[in-house]
Amino acid sequence: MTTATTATAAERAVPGPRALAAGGLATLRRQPLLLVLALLVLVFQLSTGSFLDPGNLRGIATDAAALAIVAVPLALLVISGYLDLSVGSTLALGALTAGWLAGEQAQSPVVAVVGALAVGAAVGAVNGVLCCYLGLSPFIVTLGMLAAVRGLAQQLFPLPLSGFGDGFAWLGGARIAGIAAPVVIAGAVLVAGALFLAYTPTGRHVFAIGVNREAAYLSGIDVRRTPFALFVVTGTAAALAGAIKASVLDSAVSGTSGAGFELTVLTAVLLGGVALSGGSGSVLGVLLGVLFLGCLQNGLTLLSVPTFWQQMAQGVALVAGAALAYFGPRTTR
Amino acid sequence: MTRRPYFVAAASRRQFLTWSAGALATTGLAASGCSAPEGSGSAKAAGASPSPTTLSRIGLDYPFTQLPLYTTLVKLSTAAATKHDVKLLTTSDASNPDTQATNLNTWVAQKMPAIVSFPMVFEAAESIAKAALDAGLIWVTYGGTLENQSADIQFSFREGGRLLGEAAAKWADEELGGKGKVAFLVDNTIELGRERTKGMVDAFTKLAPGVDVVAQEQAIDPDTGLSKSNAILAKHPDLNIVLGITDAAAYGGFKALQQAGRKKGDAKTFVGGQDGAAPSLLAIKQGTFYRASSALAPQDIANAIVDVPLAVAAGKANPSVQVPVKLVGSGDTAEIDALLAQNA
Amino acid sequence: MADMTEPTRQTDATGQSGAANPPNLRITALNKSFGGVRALDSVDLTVPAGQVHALLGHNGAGKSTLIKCLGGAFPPDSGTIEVGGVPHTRLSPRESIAAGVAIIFQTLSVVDSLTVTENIFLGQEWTRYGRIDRRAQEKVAAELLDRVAASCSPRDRVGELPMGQRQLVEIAKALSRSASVLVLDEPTAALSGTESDALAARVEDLRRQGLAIVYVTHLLAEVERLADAVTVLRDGRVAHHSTGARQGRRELVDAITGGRGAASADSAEDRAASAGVSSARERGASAVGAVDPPGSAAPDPTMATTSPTASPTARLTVRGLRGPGFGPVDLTVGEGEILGLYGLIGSGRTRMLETLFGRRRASGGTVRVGERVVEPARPADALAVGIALVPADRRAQGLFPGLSAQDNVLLPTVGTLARRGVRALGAERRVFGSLAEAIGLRPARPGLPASAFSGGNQQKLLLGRWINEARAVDVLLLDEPTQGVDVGARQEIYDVVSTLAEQRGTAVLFASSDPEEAAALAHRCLIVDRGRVIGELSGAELTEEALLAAVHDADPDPPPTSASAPTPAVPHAPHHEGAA
Repeated sequence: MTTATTATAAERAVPGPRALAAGGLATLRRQPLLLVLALLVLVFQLSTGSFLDPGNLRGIATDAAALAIVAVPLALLVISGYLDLSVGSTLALGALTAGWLAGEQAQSPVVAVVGALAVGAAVGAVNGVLCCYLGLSPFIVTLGMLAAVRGLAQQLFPLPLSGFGDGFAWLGGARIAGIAAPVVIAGAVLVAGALFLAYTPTGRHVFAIGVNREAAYLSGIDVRRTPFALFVVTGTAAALAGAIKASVLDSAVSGTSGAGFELTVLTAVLLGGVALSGGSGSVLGVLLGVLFLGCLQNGLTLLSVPTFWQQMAQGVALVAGAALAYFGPRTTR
Repeated sequence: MTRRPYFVAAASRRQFLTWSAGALATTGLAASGCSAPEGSGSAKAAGASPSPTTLSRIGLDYPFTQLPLYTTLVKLSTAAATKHDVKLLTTSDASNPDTQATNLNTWVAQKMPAIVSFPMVFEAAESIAKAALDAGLIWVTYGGTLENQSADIQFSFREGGRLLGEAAAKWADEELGGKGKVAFLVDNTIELGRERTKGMVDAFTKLAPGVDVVAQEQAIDPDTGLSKSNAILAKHPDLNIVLGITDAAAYGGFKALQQAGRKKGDAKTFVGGQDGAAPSLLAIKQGTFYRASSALAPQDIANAIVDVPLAVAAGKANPSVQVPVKLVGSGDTAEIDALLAQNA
Repeated sequence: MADMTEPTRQTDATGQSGAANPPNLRITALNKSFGGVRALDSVDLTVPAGQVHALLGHNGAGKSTLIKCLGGAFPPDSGTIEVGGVPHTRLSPRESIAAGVAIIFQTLSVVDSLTVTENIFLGQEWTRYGRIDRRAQEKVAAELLDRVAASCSPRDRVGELPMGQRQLVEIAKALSRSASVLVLDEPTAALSGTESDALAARVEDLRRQGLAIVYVTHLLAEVERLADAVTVLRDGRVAHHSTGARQGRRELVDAITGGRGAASADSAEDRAASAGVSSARERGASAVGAVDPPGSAAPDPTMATTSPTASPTARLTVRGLRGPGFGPVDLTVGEGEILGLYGLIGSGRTRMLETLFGRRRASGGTVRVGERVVEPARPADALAVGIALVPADRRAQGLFPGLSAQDNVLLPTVGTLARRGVRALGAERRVFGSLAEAIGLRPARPGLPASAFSGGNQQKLLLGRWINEARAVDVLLLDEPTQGVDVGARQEIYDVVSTLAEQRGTAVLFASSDPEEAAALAHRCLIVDRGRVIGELSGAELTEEALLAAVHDADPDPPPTSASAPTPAVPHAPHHEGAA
């Protein structure tokens, strides 16, 4: 299987005219999760009758937006062989910073969002320096930061914040050409991520560093700066997702906001075919992973599945999705 | 479990927040208000206060440190303890039952004279409570009852749910003619949640049998409340009522309805929650369709935390306390201001 | 080739032992393929107790595959391996050890941080009341060390011992597991001359003690001294088998190379292999032998014999380069010249190359590319001044296995080709296409992951990384350029390197522990021993035999202060000591 996924990553590396001609079938073979997702949608539509209603789809998209915004940079980070487990706490800190600036400080929404992004970038930079330049284990460092940043958020903002004003509500509630602003932002992040991987030299370097760091170093590639930048971008993205959540909810709570978010994002990333060992993955896969999680959650709610069954169904669907994605390419080869 | 009692709280604002002048919208509201501070709740134990005979220290073990209420409780009960020349100490359990057990055992070994503990796992706390009693210490159970204890501080979780359910049913009867659609955001994972859920659902369905129950979904935080409500709204755009097991979850539902196009003051919509959380209280006060919250007053709880151990030490009969829960609606401005002030 | 009469002859020759007892080792009709390539083709090998059986053949002839089947690393496709009379169709590493097979690989498997005793008993510790019985272990270890005549103490840390002693520790470890079959894989390759002699004496001892010994080597002198029987492998088949004390040297060489004259019926790979050898042999006459005829840029072979500093077109000039474990080293590589660094494993060649490339810090000396003095602190710095390295450990240091062939070649270059930060996909494809043709990449599919290519083609990808249209380095450093590459592709890689030097004037500096390769590829070759250049061969003198002689005669008993200038084995231009 490792060869299967890496092979697909490699083939995807250079989208030539031949690859385009091969068309949808090839895409399906590379992204077996697409089939799983289609199956899931079909089942939900047949059983609820309202799953595909525009209103519901809009809801799913809005819910999945924050997930996608963080999943894309995190996927790039994982492809380069690193990991960030602190995004849940960074999201909370971002949400509270944005809310505090927009609410208590009565700053303009732009200042609030920029402030949140700066805080997120700072957290990412700390992660990046420790992991990339000092060579500490990303698992330990970001796990530590998960706790530390949460503690910081609670220390700074022990109270729930709310009432951020109408201007700030624009970020989460505005419609741009009929599409919710968070969805537009998520779409932009997805496109940017995909273009970055496919069409920039640094995007190629991300793969190289993840596949074989030593070989990349000996090839003259800067093996520290690129992952460092990805840490910063991931932190910034988490803070942006936090600001969006704060705007949508018009409130933020330091203790619970974004709790467990890091695992949800990581699940989406891994489900999307990004290897935790680094070196392979695609933005399309991440999108599918995010949509899979979003549809699953929404569909189970629509079906009014009792709480514990819902938990179980989620777990089973995750494992099944991962298994299909895992065995799919092998059988088609 | 860990997010259980989602109270509004406000705390020692600590060094940082000193420069963050106006917290929430509550700044202007003086801490006056009619009810609360001086102990409507600690009625039974109230007489115990003047005798701090032997008690020099009280240990407060409230495990859910991530909740805003933690900060509020520590602040208010420290103040209450100081009034009695008692020193209040706290644990930092970080919602971890193992850490809690370790911390409690340490206190028992150190002979902390009085321990007020909210056990995450009641069965696990029993042996520690027994050890405390055997060592001649005072053990006060918070939020429940153990076999081995000196006294307890109880909350009627079912009562809180019932008050909310009845208010919503009454509103449905008056505004919707007893018809319409309701969604419950509930919690089945812990005892306290099940109590609140049962009180709320039973009271509502009994008094408003004509209203369709279209959903009953697990949600205790705003994020989940929002996404669940979104899904429910996709299927039932004409949803009238969302009742939450916590104010946090209900607040998510409140936002979902607004984002689905509902005006803030929509006359045919009712959202209600429990706890008395600040964002919800503010929404109620502003006259939105967030119309009610079953609120506990943090000051009442803080008073009980200090008064009950003192009452036990003084040898009072029936030292236990039931902290009252009160439904606040849009008319209860003074009540809301008082609650917000306690949190600030 | 492996005709049925051979085992019979074998039994006849060893007469007395063959009839009563089964031989300690009997391999019959062993086959093994890797993805369509036959690595072993019906190989037979019989070694009775008390016999040393030499196993000869080129790199890639199947020797290591045979050993690995015996050690349980690979399962054979068919055939039987009989150890002590018990037949096996396949062995796991554990079963192999249990059956009594001990393999001493070139890269030893001793743990440097443990003591001699701990190494010997690793995995089979003796315990008393649940604790390691150190005293009893040390007693046994001392006996075992005595048996192999090792001079070290049971309490010495293995990492502090010289190479020859470490090897003896490993042999002692094998004896402690009551091995009946001992396989020595090029045991003298990393040893000094005296150590080699000592080892030969040990082998004779062990033969007397009744072990069946398979002795893998490419040194005919060792065969002549030690072997009771010889098997030569070529292209996975038994090309020659003989017994008795006298081995015809000529005959063996012909068997190894496939017999130059009679090669007509052989495969293309055979021809390539023989071409490699002949080029070494005939260099004196034709300079490049079977390699493409030299163009005008190729240096005159006589130039190489002159002092390196005298080269007027020096591309790389190194003076007094020092680093941990090597130096000071002086060398000069001229434009279009291919300079070899030949030496045994551990002689410091890799460190020299890595220091030149900026992967290691030099502690002194100067490096000039052309006229410019460079001090690369990182590989990126070295690349910026036109120095590139193709490392020896392809898997760990060179390849991006999961990425496409095109990525593997162009990753360091996509940035250069890109316009305004956006990749120039068309240009990338074009560069790759023409490169694939130039280096004979097979298959020439840009999208195929590098892991799907053969070792030889992987190596071509790594070479292509530095010599394509979009990037041409001035100095190319190659470390073991054909390690793990099959015979046919070796020649192709030599051709690529030669053409590169010829047509672009690239200065090539390569390190090799294979005398055959050093002789075949280099215009001029420096002999390296313990971090110093101790000699130089070029022109007609540059032969496999001369290289071997140079390293193995290098130190008749090295004095403890080996930092003093060693005696050159052959006439050699004096180096500029302390030029830094």
